[in-house]
Amino acid sequence: MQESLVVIVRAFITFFVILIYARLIGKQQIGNFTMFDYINGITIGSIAAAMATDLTTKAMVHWLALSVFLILTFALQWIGIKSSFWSKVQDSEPVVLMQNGKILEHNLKKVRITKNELMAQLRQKNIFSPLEVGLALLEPDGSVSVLPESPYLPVQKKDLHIPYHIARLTTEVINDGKIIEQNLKQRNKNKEWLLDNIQKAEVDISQIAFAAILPNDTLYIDTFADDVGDENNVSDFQGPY
Amino acid sequence: MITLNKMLLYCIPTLFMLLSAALLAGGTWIKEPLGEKHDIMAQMEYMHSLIDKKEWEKASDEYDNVEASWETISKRVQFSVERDDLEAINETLAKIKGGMKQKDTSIVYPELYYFYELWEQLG
Repeated sequence: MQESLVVIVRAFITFFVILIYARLIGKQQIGNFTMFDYINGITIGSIAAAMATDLTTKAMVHWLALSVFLILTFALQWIGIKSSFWSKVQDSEPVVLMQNGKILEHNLKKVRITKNELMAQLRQKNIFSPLEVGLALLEPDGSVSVLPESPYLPVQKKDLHIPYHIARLTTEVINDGKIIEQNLKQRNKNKEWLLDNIQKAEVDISQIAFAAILPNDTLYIDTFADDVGDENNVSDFQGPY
Repeated sequence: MITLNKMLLYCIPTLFMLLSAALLAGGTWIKEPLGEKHDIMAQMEYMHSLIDKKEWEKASDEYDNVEASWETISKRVQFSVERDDLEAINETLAKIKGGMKQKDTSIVYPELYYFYELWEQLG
């Protein structure tokens, strides 16, 4: 047996099989990482590793196992969408950990979270006093969502009657000197508008590394030449590079 | 309307999956002879009949054909079978060769039948 060749071929196939399967499973696997998703992901990875390198078993056996995991994941996703009862069985529900500044010990015990862990989670949300918490929920993916008490909520523009603009995204229109026409159209701009703005900035399009239309409809331009000094280098001593 | 790009987006992964599955699961038919050459079962059975007649010289010549066929087939099936199965066939072929050198049917016959079983299960 040409072991190296067989491993290369099996690894090549495995790489693309998991790429295709991951795309089929979709974003849910990453965005909503429950304990089950985590274990499921590890198991799929372990099966894929065996498919690539375990020459004592047929690759097809591992492929079959991978496919079964994919089908079951699909099935659970589908059942979860169709039935809220099964969705609850699969993913559990958010649990209230704190309410009106009070820690709900009974619920903490139920989800096996210590007060120290809860305080750490609050600190990560920039909340350093339990009194500031209106509601703290443990989400099914293990994260804690916090709604501060009303006095601690940040002031909004509308509270102060400050005029505001509709929120928009920054849209990339030039990448490495190449115009992205699709994005220009998206922001209702044309090439002439873009070239006019570039001319005003006194740069050539070939010098532009990145340009984008900002939320306020102005053009941001970054050139390849940065002309930046070394005064912000945080390195303390001469290293290997 | 389905564009060419969209069609390729679905066709290439599907084709890749089908070809990969064929390569990884096709051991049972990949092991079969592609032409008249490398028909290892026919060669083995002919060698078996020569051993039955105690024609050791001819059987030894036929063994060389069996070995050459196995060399080719093993390269073809290595992606879809277990390494232990390939090694078991290598081992039994070596024992058959040794048995024929000794002209000892008590060594050769068990290995011949073991080979038939391994061949049947291969893939």
